Amino acid sequence: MKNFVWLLALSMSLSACQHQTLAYITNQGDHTVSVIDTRQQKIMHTITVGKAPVGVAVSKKLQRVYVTNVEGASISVIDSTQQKVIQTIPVKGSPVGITLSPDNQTLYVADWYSDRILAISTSNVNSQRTVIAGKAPAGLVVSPDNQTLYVAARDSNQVVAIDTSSLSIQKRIDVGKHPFGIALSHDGKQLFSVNVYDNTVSVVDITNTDQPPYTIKVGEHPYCVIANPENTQLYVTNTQDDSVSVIDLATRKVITTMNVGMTPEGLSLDTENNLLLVANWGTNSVSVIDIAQKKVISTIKTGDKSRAFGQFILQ
Amino acid sequence: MKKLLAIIALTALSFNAAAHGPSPQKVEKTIVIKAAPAKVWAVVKDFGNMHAWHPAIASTKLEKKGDETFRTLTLKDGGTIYEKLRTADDADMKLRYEIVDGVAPVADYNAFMQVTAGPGAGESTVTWVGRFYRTYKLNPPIPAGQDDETAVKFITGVFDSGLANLKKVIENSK
Repeated sequence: MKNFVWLLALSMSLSACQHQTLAYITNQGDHTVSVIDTRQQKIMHTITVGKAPVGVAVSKKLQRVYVTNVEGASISVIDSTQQKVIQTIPVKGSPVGITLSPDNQTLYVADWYSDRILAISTSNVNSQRTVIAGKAPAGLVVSPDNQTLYVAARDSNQVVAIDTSSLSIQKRIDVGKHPFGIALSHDGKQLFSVNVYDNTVSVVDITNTDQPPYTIKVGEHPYCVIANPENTQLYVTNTQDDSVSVIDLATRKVITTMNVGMTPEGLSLDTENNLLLVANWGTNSVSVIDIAQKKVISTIKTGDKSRAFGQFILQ
Repeated sequence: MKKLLAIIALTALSFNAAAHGPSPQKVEKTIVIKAAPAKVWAVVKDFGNMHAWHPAIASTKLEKKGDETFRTLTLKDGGTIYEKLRTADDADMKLRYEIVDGVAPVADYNAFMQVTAGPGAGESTVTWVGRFYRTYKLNPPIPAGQDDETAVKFITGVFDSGLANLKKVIENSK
């Protein structure tokens, strides 16, 4: 029996090694990325990147993490097996939002002041295409079939749908005031836009974009949104209420509000461990939320001014 | 031609006015005051009387517009700052406000002042946190006086001198 327990413990720890889930948190103030093991809930590495990192995108397949350095006019490419920067891609302008196509072939980057979206080939970063989508592009997301890129054009109060092969604009969808973070449901049928100046989330039916989106009231100055894999709930960071709203999509209402650190920005799901991680810009930390309990279970100290704008969990 | 340039400059200004930069800045300062929290909070929450404790402010003018409360701060160095009260929460002893307009070299500024009890008996701690952006809203090069350093230095000066004098004023009053 003792042997069995020991074996069980061994196999459990082995499987823990195999399924290590890492969160890459950009720290604007000290120009670093904190790498968190979400199961152990502690910092494993701190990686120096470019000036004022904001956005982040991860690729399990490529074993890469891409970080936008907004004041450094560059993208840092991290090798997730070595936890170090292996390449820096110069970007003329102010890169903020970043996302990777689900097929891992194209990296999309939003250049804040120039209103440009860059499409960069992950196999050859010198191969770059650009498109002008709308004023002050912020959040980006690509449909599960890789066909459509959605851009939150903050100062146009629109989400712009772009065909990824031709980089032509397909549709302009009016949302609330100052959309910043956007996300898709896992089936790609719904799009969620966080409207900073309206304190709302717009829910767009992608299968029928002529139908105006409905909106759900959240907290003060919301920034980012993510849907759970079952697509029954949304999680939204409220930067000026220091909280996360949990929305029930069936009733279209906020069902719980959880207090987190000061000025929460980026948030991502660890579906392996059923956790929600929230980067707190104001308190230099990450709040770890148990999704089932809807409760903050730990707070991890990170670097100065954590943002983590994008999908930052590698699992 | 001159007219056209002026129109272009104006257009550029008008749509940049909506945007702010991508890198928010923060200043956070605290001070311990030898006085009961209720006494400190009474001074802090008095939105129309900032000149009573801030050494850079000559006068404060309070204004009500419907449900909203504003104040105009006239600085001793000249110039004014127009601010809006967001909330004054007695339970949390937290005052939240924002800058609407004025001479401060910052954009999209919002801040709070909060009073907490301690660390010692009969003492209070005042925390002042501001979040804001630099005023320049285009790609680099960033002109001197419109950069992050200028914005952070200005707010740091406001907080440091303000908290030091807040302590002095409260501790010297009976």
